Amino acid sequence: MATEIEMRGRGWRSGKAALLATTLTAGLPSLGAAESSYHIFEVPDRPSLNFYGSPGLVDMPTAHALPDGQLAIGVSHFGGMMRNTLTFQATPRLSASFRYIGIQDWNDVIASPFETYRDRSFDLRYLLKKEDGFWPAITIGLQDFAGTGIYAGEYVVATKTFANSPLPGTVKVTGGLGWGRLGSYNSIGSPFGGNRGSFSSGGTGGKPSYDQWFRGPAAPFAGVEWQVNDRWALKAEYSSDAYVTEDRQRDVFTRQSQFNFGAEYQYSEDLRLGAYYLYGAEFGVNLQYQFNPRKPATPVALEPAMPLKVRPTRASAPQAWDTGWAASTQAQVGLRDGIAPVLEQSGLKLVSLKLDPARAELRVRNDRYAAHAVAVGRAARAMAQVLPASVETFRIVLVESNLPQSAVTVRRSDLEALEFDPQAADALLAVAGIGEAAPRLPGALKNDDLYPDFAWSIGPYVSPSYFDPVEPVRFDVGVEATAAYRPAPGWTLAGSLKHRLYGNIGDDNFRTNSQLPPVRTNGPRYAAEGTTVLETAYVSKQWKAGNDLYARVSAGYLERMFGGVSAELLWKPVASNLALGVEANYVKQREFDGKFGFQDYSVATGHVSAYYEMGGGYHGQLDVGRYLAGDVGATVTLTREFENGWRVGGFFTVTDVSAEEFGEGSFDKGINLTIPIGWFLGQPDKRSISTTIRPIQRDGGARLEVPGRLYEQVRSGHRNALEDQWSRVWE
Amino acid sequence: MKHLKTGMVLIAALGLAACAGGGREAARSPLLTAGSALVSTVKGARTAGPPKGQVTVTRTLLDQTNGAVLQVVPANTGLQDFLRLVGRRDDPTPGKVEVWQASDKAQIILREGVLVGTKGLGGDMRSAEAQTVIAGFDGQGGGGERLITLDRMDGTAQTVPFSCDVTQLGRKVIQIVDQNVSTYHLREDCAFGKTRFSNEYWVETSTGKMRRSRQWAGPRFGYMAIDRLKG
Repeated sequence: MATEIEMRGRGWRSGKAALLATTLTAGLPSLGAAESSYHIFEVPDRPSLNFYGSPGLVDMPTAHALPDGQLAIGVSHFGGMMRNTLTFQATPRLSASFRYIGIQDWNDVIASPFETYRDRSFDLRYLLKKEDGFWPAITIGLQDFAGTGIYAGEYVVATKTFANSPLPGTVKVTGGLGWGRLGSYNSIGSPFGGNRGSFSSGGTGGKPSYDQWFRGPAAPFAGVEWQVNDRWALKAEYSSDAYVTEDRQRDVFTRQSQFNFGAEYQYSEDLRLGAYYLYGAEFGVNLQYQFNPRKPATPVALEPAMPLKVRPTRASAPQAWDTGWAASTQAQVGLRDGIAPVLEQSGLKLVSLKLDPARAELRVRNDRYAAHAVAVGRAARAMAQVLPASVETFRIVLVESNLPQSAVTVRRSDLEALEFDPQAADALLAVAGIGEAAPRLPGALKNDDLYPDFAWSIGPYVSPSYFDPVEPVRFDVGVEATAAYRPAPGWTLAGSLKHRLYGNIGDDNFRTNSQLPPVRTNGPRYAAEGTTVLETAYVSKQWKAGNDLYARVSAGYLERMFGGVSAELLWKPVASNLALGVEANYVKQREFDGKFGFQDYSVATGHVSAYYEMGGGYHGQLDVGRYLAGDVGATVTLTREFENGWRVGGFFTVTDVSAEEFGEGSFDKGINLTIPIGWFLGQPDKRSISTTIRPIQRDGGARLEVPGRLYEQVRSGHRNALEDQWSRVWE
Repeated sequence: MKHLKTGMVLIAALGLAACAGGGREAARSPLLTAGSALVSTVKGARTAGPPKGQVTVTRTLLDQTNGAVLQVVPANTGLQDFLRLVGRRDDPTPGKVEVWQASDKAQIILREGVLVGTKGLGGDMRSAEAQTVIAGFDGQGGGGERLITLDRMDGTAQTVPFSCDVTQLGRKVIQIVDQNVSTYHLREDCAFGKTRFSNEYWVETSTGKMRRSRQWAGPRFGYMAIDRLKG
């Protein structure tokens, strides 16, 4: 019986998607392993960081990887050089870093427009071999791998741990071979030959310089880390970096030795502080902060629901099983009005209810729980509490802003039998069906109190702007008022008004030097010329167009810089890993002052998108189409999503705009971070904070920002998302 | 002066931020919610009050209380709480299930007195087997593999197959309030890899009812001492 329900739920459509899934995941063997490597009782070993914010000694790398999913922030300073690095262990073996640096006294010897040289760089590291009883860990790394960056260098490094040495604590011994910058002192020749371009601060940069990797002279480096006890560690290393640019050319500091020494103190579980003596000349400090998105800042504890109400047996209370109620509209309305407040207690809103003698479909809106599985469980409890005993089959449909996401079908007797089962959640999932929800539910009793609905808020806002050559971080702060009016299902009239109180984004006297239509590089001008601005004001309508089809139409001031019309159609079967979407927009550039006017520039922009869930929390997205500046190309986005809603991703866009036309950076790229509010709060909360960090914002490959894109709204209640947090269904 | 004015307006803005209406929980400013949560976390760590005094339970006190009473003292806080029975039933798994509710609405779930779940603690025990313990309630036997599903606090849970030994420690007379109760005393030692825990149970010989226990509720919460005072 169990299997039968499940089969029905998944439907025939999943066949094609499953086939595609097999093909795609076959090419990604290492990705799926992510989940199994995480264990509740294991406290994984966390390597300390070097001055580049990645696992290492002082200035040199080591071979161990951070625990899977770990985020590390490193802030280091010595000899007038400051490095700020964010490192993400994207898979158990692969990590990526983004770095922002400043080197003082840059113009002392060679003239330069900037006294402090600032630059962004990306690293990649891959753990080739995990450490075992005999072999050391081996890692290959690309440092500042895009363009002729000042930190460009490659390495192969091995690290071996000795825990049972005569010394107390743990000793880790590291040796490696470096190229580029890491092969600049005492090289042993060029094993892979070739010439590598030297660092130049001009040029557009930003492109993977694969023709230079592992080329030119190579030099060995080595070091020891002695973790004396839980708190203290000592480090010593021999560096293979000659600091050619900083020492010989720019005279930023004077290098006198290749040996570096340091002491580190583990201040708390997350924070480690270090002090060092480097290159026989300088004292340095390093602040290392590591945390894992899986571990909440404040653990969530929901107020528990009362135990499930169990029906009396038919023999003991035959009158409770009577089905006479089904014929009476009044009785049905009574049940609807009875269940609404019970749902309300759990933060759920009744949308509609359809009752038959033996089955009921409840459509419900979840405004509270990021984990939709919790909403499903609470809705099931409410149905069991209120509905007559004869109703045996429960269908629970989650509705997200007028979009019925999926239907969870569960038998009431299974709920009663499994609430305290030794494996309650898994057992319920095995007998529950997660299937498609029809766009409409004819014959249902609606909740008439939902519309019209008006919501508003007033609050502070902060909008940061990074990596300006003069001022690394600029920001505007002020007050934002938002309002949304929903007159009928799917209709939204919304807007937001911002008033800036303080800010320096507009102080940037940078005037766009873009060879493309200035669709984004005018940002500072928008900030300067608008104090009180209409950020957005739009009307939108979204609806479910078919069992697997979702649609949206929006018009108005869609974002600060553009207004116009937008239409989107999304195909996403409930059980499919694949979704396809198409979006078309016609927009006009808004006036700088943030009022109602428009400039002359207008563009038809749009994309065809494919979204794919690779499993293990890895998501891919491909968007192909025309961008705001009229350029044509594609965006690739890869995201690691944790079950609790944390997302860390990277993207790049390549269009028909050449690197020269694009300007600094050569093409658009960046990283995305999404942090669920509940992770901080320790209370259920559906919202999250998102930010996108770009090394530089140019006009090529720029996408329109449209409020209410469909994919995330739809996906959150589909099979994969429900299963991710299904363990919470009884919560 | 200009800065002062800006500061005042900012403070006013933050004060205003509490303003939101329309019933939708999603309408509040996410930035502010997260910020105030962080502030209260920091504050909370500083202002954690001293533990409340222990109440000595007397027969009179117990007679005045309606319904069944369970006393629970978590080892991590040492704070005594009296739980109320809010559910009691049979299901297809052997052994009667009871749901007990604490004063802060958290729940513990016992099957024949064996802890098989917690709710509302954070890092909860989601579900567990109890049969390997119940089998030892007659003063002999017990033990075997016991599945316990634990919340990993990242939205997922992990089912851990503990291997458990039950040791019969013989008959013991324990005192519960003013009552001397004759019990079988059992110890259960469970291990999974390097993770170990030891539970102790005192089961009334005449009724087979568990009167006292010290049980592990998962890696986050640790142990709790449970006394069945009444009912």
